[in-house]
Amino acid sequence: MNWVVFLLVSWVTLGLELGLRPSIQLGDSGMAPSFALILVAYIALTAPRVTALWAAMLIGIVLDLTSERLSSSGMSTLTIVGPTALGCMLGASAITNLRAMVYRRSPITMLMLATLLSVIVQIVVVACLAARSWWDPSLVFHARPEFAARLGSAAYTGVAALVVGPVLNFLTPLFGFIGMHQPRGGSASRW
Amino acid sequence: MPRGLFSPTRTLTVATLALVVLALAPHRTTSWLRGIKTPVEFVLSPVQHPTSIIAHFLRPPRIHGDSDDETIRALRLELDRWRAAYAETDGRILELERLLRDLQSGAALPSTLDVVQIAAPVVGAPSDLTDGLLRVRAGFDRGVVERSTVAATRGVHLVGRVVEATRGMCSVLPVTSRRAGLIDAVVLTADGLGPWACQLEPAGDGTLVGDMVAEAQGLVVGQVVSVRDRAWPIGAQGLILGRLSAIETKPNGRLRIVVTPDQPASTVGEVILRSPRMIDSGGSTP
Repeated sequence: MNWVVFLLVSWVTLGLELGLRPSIQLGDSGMAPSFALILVAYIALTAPRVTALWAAMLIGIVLDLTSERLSSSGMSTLTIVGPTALGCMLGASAITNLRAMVYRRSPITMLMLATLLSVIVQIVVVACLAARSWWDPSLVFHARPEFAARLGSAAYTGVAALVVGPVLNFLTPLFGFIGMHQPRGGSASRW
Repeated sequence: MPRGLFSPTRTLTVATLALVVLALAPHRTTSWLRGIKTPVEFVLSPVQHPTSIIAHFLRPPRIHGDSDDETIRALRLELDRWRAAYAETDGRILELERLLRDLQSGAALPSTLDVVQIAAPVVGAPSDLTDGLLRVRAGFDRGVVERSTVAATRGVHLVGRVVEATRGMCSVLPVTSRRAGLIDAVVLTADGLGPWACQLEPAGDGTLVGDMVAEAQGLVVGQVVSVRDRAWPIGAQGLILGRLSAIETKPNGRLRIVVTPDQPASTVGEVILRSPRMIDSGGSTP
């Protein structure tokens, strides 16, 4: 993978995500698509496994660093690094295990995999924050209502992948993935 | 040095373990991470800021009850400014009366506060929208103070309070966010009997709900509700929270009101940050 292209695309994607999310969320529900997670799903679908995991971790760390949670007092914020990064890695790992069974260029594939990855990320984030809230008094976390909103965001991310996925597929030659993978017993066109 | 010590797979494993530790470690041991956040935001801002401008252009702010007529809009804004000024002055009179009593009883008056206003764009939100925080492009380098600075739109409509300020950026917790907590306010009535006090809490749908004091009367849908809460910074006093959108009578006879802000926090594109500025007893500003 061409890491320069990856960093440039990540920069644009993360900037778009942070700038657009408040405007495209559903009402005040906090449900909004994540373009960065679609990028993680795309990389996991296309890049070698270890490369995909490194890329997922990098994007996850930036998402964690740009994320803020109110402290229990409600008068300050917490920056928690780790939950999204771990979720992205787990999600990317799941996709790299599944990708031999899917047709990469199909928009439905991106919808399904982006939704799957988002759901995995949200499960890991909720699990990490719930566990942390047991012994960290500065964090108050209500898992059930938050998980519902996060699942809504995951579904919304899947829908957004129908639009973002083809754009990323269009950029595939720039990433330098072509010919990198040969599916076992299959042709390169399947990828 | 053995081969493969720094192989990508082994390094990845170590990095993953480090992330697990960071994810679960208490905040007091990971607060240094805030230092990394500022450069990351700085790097992302060349894309984030133009994107938010385009987003606000494509989805202009929805202002409840606003007219298409430019003159009516201007008059309404002017009326809101006078209402906010009235509410602030009314609150200030009460505050001065209390101060006078304190002085007569011998309490010292070391200093007083003024408010400085800073215009700043809203450049988006954190990647986690759970708490409804807004990211505003102004930080402590421009005089923004955590917990003491408040954000308003059009100068008079309260958006929320600054809960975090770094160099060049701050986070505002909207008053309508579920985590914002209770806020004391007054309803300005036209009959001169008010203003009537109430305590409001976020309903979770972008509105505020609460009970009026028992003697409240003359309430009508559309009346303006202003902040009068000593737990909030001086810059918030008198600012408009919204208008009465529903009034119902509870079984105990008390009135329960629903207050809807003129502009939902998620559609705000620019805010006026109101920060305290200390004035010494001689009246000069440091």
